[in-house]
Amino acid sequence: MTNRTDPAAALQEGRRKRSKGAREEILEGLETDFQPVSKRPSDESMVVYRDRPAGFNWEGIKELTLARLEENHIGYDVVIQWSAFLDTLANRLYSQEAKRVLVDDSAHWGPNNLVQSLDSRLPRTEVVSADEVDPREAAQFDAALVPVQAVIAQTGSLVIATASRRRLAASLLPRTVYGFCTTRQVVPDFGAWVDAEGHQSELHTVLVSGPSRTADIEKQLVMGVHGPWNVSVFLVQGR
Amino acid sequence: MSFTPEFLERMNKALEDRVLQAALNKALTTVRRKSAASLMELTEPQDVRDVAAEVKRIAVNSLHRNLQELESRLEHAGTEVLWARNAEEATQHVTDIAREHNIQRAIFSKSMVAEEIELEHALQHAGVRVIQTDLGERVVQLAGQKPSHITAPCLHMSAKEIGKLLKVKTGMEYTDDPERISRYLAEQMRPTFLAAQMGISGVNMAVSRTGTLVMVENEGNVRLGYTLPEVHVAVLGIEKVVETMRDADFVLSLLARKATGQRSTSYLSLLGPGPLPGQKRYVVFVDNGRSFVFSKGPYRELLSCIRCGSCMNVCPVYEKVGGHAYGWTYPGPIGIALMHLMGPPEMASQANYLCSLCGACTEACPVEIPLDKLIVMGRARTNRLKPGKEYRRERRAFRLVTQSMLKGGRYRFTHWGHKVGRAVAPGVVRGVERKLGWHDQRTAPVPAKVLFRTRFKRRKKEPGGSS
Repeated sequence: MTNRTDPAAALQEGRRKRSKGAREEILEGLETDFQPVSKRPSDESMVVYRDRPAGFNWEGIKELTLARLEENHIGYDVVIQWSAFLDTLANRLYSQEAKRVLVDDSAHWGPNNLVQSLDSRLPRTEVVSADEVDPREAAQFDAALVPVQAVIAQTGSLVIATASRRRLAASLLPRTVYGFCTTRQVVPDFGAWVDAEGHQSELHTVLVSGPSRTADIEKQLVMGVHGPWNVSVFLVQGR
Repeated sequence: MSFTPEFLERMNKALEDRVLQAALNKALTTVRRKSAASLMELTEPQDVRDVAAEVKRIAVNSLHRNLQELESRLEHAGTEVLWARNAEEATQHVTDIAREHNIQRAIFSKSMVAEEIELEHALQHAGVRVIQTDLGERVVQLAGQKPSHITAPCLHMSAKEIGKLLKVKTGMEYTDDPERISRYLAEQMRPTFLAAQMGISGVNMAVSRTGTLVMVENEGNVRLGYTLPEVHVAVLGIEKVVETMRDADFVLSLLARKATGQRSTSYLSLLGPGPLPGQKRYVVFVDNGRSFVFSKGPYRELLSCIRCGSCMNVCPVYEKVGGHAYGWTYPGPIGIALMHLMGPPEMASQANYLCSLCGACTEACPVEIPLDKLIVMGRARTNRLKPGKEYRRERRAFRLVTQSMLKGGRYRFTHWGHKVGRAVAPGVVRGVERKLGWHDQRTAPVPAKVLFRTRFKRRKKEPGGSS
């Protein structure tokens, strides 16, 4: 029963009623005797890209991955240990004069106690967990550190997947974003990532292929618009 | 066929606008070059194109099932799905949502469906302050214009024009440097993003099996639009549904390459079926003529369109007149083909002729829509003539030309007649040409001094000539 005095409920009821009527009519208009094929063309294991690497082996995929990241204006560091990753990142943040850093410490890979580990290396910088910050407040941070679920070699894309709005905002609002993953998380292409069940459909996933950009004015490429202006990734070997 | 004075004025204005001509030429040349280069990275571009076309064909023909599956996935995850038969219903849904949540400020990410249903206008009419967040869209919004291209809204404007506009509208210090202008607009819009209560976005594709909403962009405004506000409304044209993520992959492998010449856009969002924590999400399924297109036999192929804009990037007519000349949301070849089914009929009957039938659009289309064929059928349709009868005179003329070319004697006679006629009585020949439809804007080809057949024979007789 709709509460007649509640305008919100009345709006909802009207909306749903209209929608129901429209639904029936639209679906009726889309009925067809078309029989879907048993095997879809996209189910074929078709090689889409000319220089697709044969497998998931890092050594075989390394050259393409790094070339694509560079073409996409994504900075990268290949390091051999997590401690080296933390030291390099701390140096980078120090030279960047980052005063506030947001950290998404939800990954099951990477160093333990990420926030504390970074905090101890940067005494003059405020290091805060993304889970403690309202999405809008993420804009007040100079940099963010986010886990990268996979790197897609073919397109040089970083895969960021999360169920959290705060973590999504952390990878979006600070002007500089650093990602991290292991070299085992590098996959040849989008299809391989989907096939490897890398895509968990209940999560919100973003494939980042560089800093935000536009070419709206006279087709001249401008890097750094609404999203991050600088994107880098740390690839930690052999873990 | 007669054109209204307004239509002719729009054409003449576009053709005489040197700034527009230069802007279009520069932008489209760049896109075409980049697109061709990026397609070379695919093993067999034509094979990928074939698969993408087939994927979309199956998806369109399975809409009845896929839409219900998508609806079920979304609702199960907590997203409210609303169906709209037409623009009025769709805008009513969104304005109701705005009223229910007491929305004062909304941000728009670039969406052609939202443009098509004039959602911005409806929301503003309902008292909601609406800001376009795509840089190009923001520029045309400030200029009080409509986008002139589906992926590059301010393609028709030069940096100088934009600099002058922003100086007047926003107080920006004049500059014609695209980087400074872009950065200025981005900085100016940041507080708007942070204060927005409702984000409205389009959807490039929806995956029915997982309930995923796929959004493609470069600037980050779409991500901000669905992440920051407490209410997110996604407006989905019902033809955008595919079944699996693999299906989406094939289409995506061509979308950015065709649209902007990029391997992949900066951001590809795969939004899960449920809303983000602390957020309410609505997805509006918009028909607005699509099921009508579906019911119209061969025109159904138009629903495969992925809105990459490649047909307009290669269209010689679009390159001369720009997007505004078409007088509808969707310009270029896809706009013409759709217009007579979904757009204003009075515009369609004229825009139908903004096509040279060169077929470049069909060649460029990543999902193999036979646009040139459909445009010809559209001409017949809007002229209320049955296909096959519309060009009786033209067909007769071409039959004559064919006959004259089949026999050497006849061809030589026709050629001789044309040559002599032009030399002896040029006025009479021009009169005949004019009578046949040639007029001041075109000239008939000058007959060759020596016929190709004659030259070929002579060459064969020369020492070393091929037999």
